[in-house]
Formats: sequence, C-alpha cells, structure tokens
Amino acid sequence: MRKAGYILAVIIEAAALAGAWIVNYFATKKMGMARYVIYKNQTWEREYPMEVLQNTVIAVLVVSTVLLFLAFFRKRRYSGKWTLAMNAGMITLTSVYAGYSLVSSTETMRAYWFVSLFLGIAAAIQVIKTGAANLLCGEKMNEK
Amino acid sequence: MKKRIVSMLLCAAVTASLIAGCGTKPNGDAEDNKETKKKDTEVSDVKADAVEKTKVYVSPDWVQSVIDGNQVESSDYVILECSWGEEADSPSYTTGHIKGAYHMNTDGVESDEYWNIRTPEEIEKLMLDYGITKDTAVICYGENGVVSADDRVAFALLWAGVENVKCLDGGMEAWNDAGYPTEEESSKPKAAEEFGTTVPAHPEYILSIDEVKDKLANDGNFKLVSIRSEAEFLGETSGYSYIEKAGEPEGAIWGHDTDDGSYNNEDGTAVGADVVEKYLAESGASLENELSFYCGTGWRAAIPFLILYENGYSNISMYDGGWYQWQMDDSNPVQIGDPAGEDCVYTTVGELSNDKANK
Repeated sequence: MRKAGYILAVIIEAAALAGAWIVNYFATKKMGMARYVIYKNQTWEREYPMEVLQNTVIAVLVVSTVLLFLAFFRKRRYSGKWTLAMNAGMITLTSVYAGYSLVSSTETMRAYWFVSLFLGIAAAIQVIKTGAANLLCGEKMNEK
Repeated sequence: MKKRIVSMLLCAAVTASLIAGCGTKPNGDAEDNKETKKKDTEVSDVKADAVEKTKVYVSPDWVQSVIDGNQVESSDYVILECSWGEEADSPSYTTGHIKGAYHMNTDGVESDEYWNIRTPEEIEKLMLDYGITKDTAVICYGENGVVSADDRVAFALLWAGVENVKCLDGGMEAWNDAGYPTEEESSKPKAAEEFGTTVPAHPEYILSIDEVKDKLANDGNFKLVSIRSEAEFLGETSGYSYIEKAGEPEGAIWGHDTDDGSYNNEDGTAVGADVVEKYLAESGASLENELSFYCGTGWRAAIPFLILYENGYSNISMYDGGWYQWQMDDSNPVQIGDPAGEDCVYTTVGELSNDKANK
C-alpha cells in the first residue's frame, strides 16, 4: 500500500514537472496555446486573488519544508540516504517553486501561472512524500 | 543505491528526449521545398504595370518587378513575411521566403491584453526597427490568400501612416505558383531614424469599444459588420479554443467569414468590392453606410477593410477589440441568433454560458 502510494505520488510529481515544461514550450511555439494561456491568465487574475493565493501557498510550503528538514536533521542518525535524498529533493523543489513564482511574472513568461501551478503541485507532493519518509524514520528510531 | 540513481537519471533523460522529439517538426517539408525552388543564379527582369499607391492587393509579377528594380517603389521598399511566432519558429519563413523579406511576428503589432493594435509609440518603434518610414513601400505576405496575418499587419501600417502598403495577393502560395525564387537565409532590417509623421496618422481607422457602443445607439447609418463564420455569428460557437462565450454584440450584422474562402476568388486572390457589397446587401446594408468591421481579434476583419480601402472608400473602420474584448464585460449587450429572424435572443455577456469554446 505504501509502495503504491509512493509510486502514484512520483508519477503525479513527474507529470506536473513535465506539464510545466510542455505548457511553457508550446506557449512559445503555438499561437493557439499562447493565446489560451494568456486568456486564462487574464481570467484567473480577474476572478481570483492570484497573488494572495500564491503567496499563501509559498509560505505554507516554505514553512513545511523548513520544519520537515529540522525534524529530519534531529533524527539524521537514524535516517538512511534515501531520506536524505528526499529532503534534498524537497528543498530543491520548494526553492525552485518559490524562486520562480517570486522572480518571474506573466510579463516575462506567458505561461507563468500554469508553470507556477505545476511547480507548486510538484513541490507540495514532494513535501508530503518527505513528511511521510520522516515519519517512517521516526518509527524506526522509536523501535531502536 | 548508485545504480538506482543512475537508472532514474537515464529514465528522465529518455523521457525528456521523447518529449522533445514529439515537439520537433520533421524536416521532410523543408527538403521537398528545397527541391522545388528555382535557382538563384537565374537573372530576373520582370516588368509589370505600375499600380496606384492606394492599391493594396498586388500580383507576384508586380512584387518581382519591384525586386528587379522596375517600379517606382524599387528605390525604397520592405517585404514582410507575416506570421505568428519568432522567426526560428516560423516555417513559412525558415523553409523559404521571398528574397530579402524580413519576418514580422504578428505579436509585434498586437498587445496581449485584447490583441488590439499596440500603442503608437510601440508601433513607431517597431516600424523604425524594420527600416520603415511613411514613404517606404511595404509589401506584406502570408501563407496564402486566406490566412490574414499579412492583412492584419498591413492594416496596422496604414493606421500608423505608411502611405504605400501592399499585400501579395494569394500569398506565398501564389508566389510559388508563379515560380519566382525564394531563399532560406535570414534577412535583418536596417533601422530607420525618423518615421516622418505622427503615429497614428489615421486614428479614424480604429474604433474603440466605447465608440462602437455610442454609434450603435445613436447613428442610424452605422453598421457593425461581423466577419466571422455563420456558426460564430449565430452564437453556436465562440470560434476560439480559449473563448468560452459565444454570441455577437447586439446590433451587429453578418458580413461572411474570410477563413472559409468567401473573400477569395477561385485562384486564391482577394475578391472585389462588389462581393463585399453583395454580402452587405444580404444583411440589409450597403457601401453607403458607415461600416466598421470586426471579428474575434482583428485579423479577418482586416480583409474587407483593405478591399474597400483600395477601392477608394473612406467610410470604413475596424472595431479592433472584436468579440474577444466585447465578451469580457458582463454588462455588454449580446444577440444570439440571426437578428433578422424572430428567434434572435437578446441578453448580456454575463448571462451567456461558458461552454461554447471551439473544440
């Protein structure tokens, strides 16, 4: 069950990263796609407080990432290399998501909101995966 | 552990190369084109009859005669291959274009917000970057006579103040049919310093959405003419994958679509003013009315405008925002169906359903 959940999470994460790349690629190559993402940008910005939503998500992911890494750091003696890799992946993805979202904009990249959304999904999944890995690591520590 | 990491990296690399492969256009077309191209070594000296400055649609013979130095325009002209996208992403340019032509990305003349013509400052800078002044003869062309990218650019140039604007009638298709040479090398324009007049020299060519509303309400001689498909005009589809609402501004009449060839002769060249007149008569309008053409975002509407312009009509304009801008304000009045019929429904944008995007 755990393994199946992990594989599913990896697939969604990979799909989100691929989606970010694909949308951005075709937004520069196909007129229909470019106009579609621009229209969606305008619609979302008109109907939702996009910046507030985005800043909230960034804050939640960054705080989660810091807390999870601190928890991992405390238990690092009982953690394997795989947990270390998961934490490194989490820090990387959260940094990429937060950095991209804060530095870029629809002015510099037409598919900005789409890319930001996909990176956010990937980062969130990585945070959840890492949290689960840290929990497992905690169980092992208690057993010892 | 190392093996696992290496195998994951390999999987990622294979996936990335597969995705990249899907997005790459096979170069078969380019090779086919190369074979059919005329050799550049042939000496050309085409002579064609001179045309009026206000004549827009010109033949391949006339364009070649300009290139060969046999027209008044030969001393100062620019040829623009007009299509969407950067030069490297435009096969209509990279796989063979008219000798000396520059690529013009339509995004250069349109802004993201409503796809309206950019600000005068932006357009002036764009023209100067392309070495265009008000006295330069600018020859625009697109893929064929139906695709209206070149008409859109030509319209923007006329609005700005370029006095001698042409469109290659029938586009690249007609050029190739005529057997004139092409080249694949990229040409880069030499910038000009002064445009020579205030941009826009003809602000009256474009009506804003507020001006359209005002004229629809207060000017009985004004006709807002939809250059969209019948299905778009009747509100069955928005006509665009990214526009969810379908309908027309209340008071619009139908002037047929350009994308279905209604504005082309059998050989792909543009029709005359008589055809425009016939379409207008179907909707109870005439060439005597003040006419403002519109479509989704301003490409198709440029064609009837240019046809009437070259025939000397001055009672014409374009509502640049089109349906795209109209459907962005929930309070705007909308008609669904044929206004000449009894079952036409009058409502507002806010009441429209969001399921009419073009599938």
